[in-house]
Amino acid sequence: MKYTLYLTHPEDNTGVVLKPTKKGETLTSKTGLTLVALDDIPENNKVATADIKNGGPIMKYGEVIGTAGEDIKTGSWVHTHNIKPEGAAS
Amino acid sequence: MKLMGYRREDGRVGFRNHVVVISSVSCANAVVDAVGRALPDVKIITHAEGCGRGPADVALTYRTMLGLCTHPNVAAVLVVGLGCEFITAPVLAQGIADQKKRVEHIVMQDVGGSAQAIQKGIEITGDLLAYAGSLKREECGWDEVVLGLECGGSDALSGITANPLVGGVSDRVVEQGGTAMLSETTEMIGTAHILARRSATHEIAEQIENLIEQQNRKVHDSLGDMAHMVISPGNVEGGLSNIVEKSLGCIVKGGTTPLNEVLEYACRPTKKGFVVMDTPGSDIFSITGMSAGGTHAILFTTGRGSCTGFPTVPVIKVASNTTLYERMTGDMDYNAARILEEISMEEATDEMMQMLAGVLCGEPTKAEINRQDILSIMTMTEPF
Repeated sequence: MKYTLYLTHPEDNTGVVLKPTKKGETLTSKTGLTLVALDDIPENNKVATADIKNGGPIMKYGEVIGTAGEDIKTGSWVHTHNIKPEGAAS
Repeated sequence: MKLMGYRREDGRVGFRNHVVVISSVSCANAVVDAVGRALPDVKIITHAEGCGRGPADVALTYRTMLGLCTHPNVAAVLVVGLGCEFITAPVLAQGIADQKKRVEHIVMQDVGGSAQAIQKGIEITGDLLAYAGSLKREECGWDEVVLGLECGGSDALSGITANPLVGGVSDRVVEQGGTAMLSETTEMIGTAHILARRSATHEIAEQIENLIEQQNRKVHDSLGDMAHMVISPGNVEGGLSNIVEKSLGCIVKGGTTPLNEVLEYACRPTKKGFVVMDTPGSDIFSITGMSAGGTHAILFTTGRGSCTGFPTVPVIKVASNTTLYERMTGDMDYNAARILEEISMEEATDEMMQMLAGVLCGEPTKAEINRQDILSIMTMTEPF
């Protein structure tokens, strides 16, 4: 696989890793974005494509999917451990 | 892209020209099956309904059957009934005739039983096939197209590749004046605020919020301690962090245009553009409801490999990953995972629009080739 990172929307601050990713690996998107993974990240999970402040919006599909529960650095795994849900019905 | 369809007497345009043989009650299913075996070109519709349920379900079943029979992809209908059921053949046939569709009916108890009903059914259906064969396609516009959107057997890539691609197609169809219909209310839970913001009016925003909240309560009532399974451990392992993210990955099929109408199950849209139909998340019930509402074709995304089609509506299967596309190529129409590597979203959307135009003009989908004619009518209460 040529590209290892995919963004669902240009305004997102997260991308999806397209293969199981090890800490220190370089990820590249078709759009030319390159970043280094700061964590081990399972396939199809999210990686921060920008620094996100504690309490800041987590963006995917150009929408807010949650709020950062801590400061998240570019390249970090973004998942249930560092996201607070936003606007969930339950 | 020019479209060619069949202009029907009710003013709508159809993109298939099927003759349907339908049972008004499950007791007539064997006769319908026999006519279908004798004349394989017809589309048979059999089901478990038509009698033995409360008035709300009888009304819902009738509305669904009527919607399926008056569908613009249908040229003519034969209704077969037993004779003593709630939804009788003459009543359903009258409803179909009132909407200017050619229709005949048979009552098994009136014609002397099964063998006579089958014989008469084959004769009548032969005439209906000849009538359908006399109809010709003519040029029509995208503004007459109602596109259904569905996902089933999803995987972690469905929300990344296939569903956003289908969303791009929805936007194109809507831009050209057509209609794109999203369904599966369960899979909208968590996104009420997003769909409300997209709503064309305050009234529609309220409707969609109420609908999703109501569905959320239903899910909790019916699943109890299992309600959290709406987002499952498998989803979380696949990288979905919460219900908002999961549902966004589903509603992205509806593109980005304003929400113009919220419909009950099996009801026909009165507005064009992006609309939502309230259906269960279970995909066969959902595509049956949308088809009864008049969708001409359905874009159906899958990651695990759903093979489902529908008797009267072409279903286009959009695979979310290359492994699936290659493993089940006889069932999959398009590989959306190409957007990850080979082509841009824009190019993939162009390709899908070409494919959709071809299918509308008569190219068979994989599900049509496989005769994946599956249907389930939604009910609300237990039979008695």
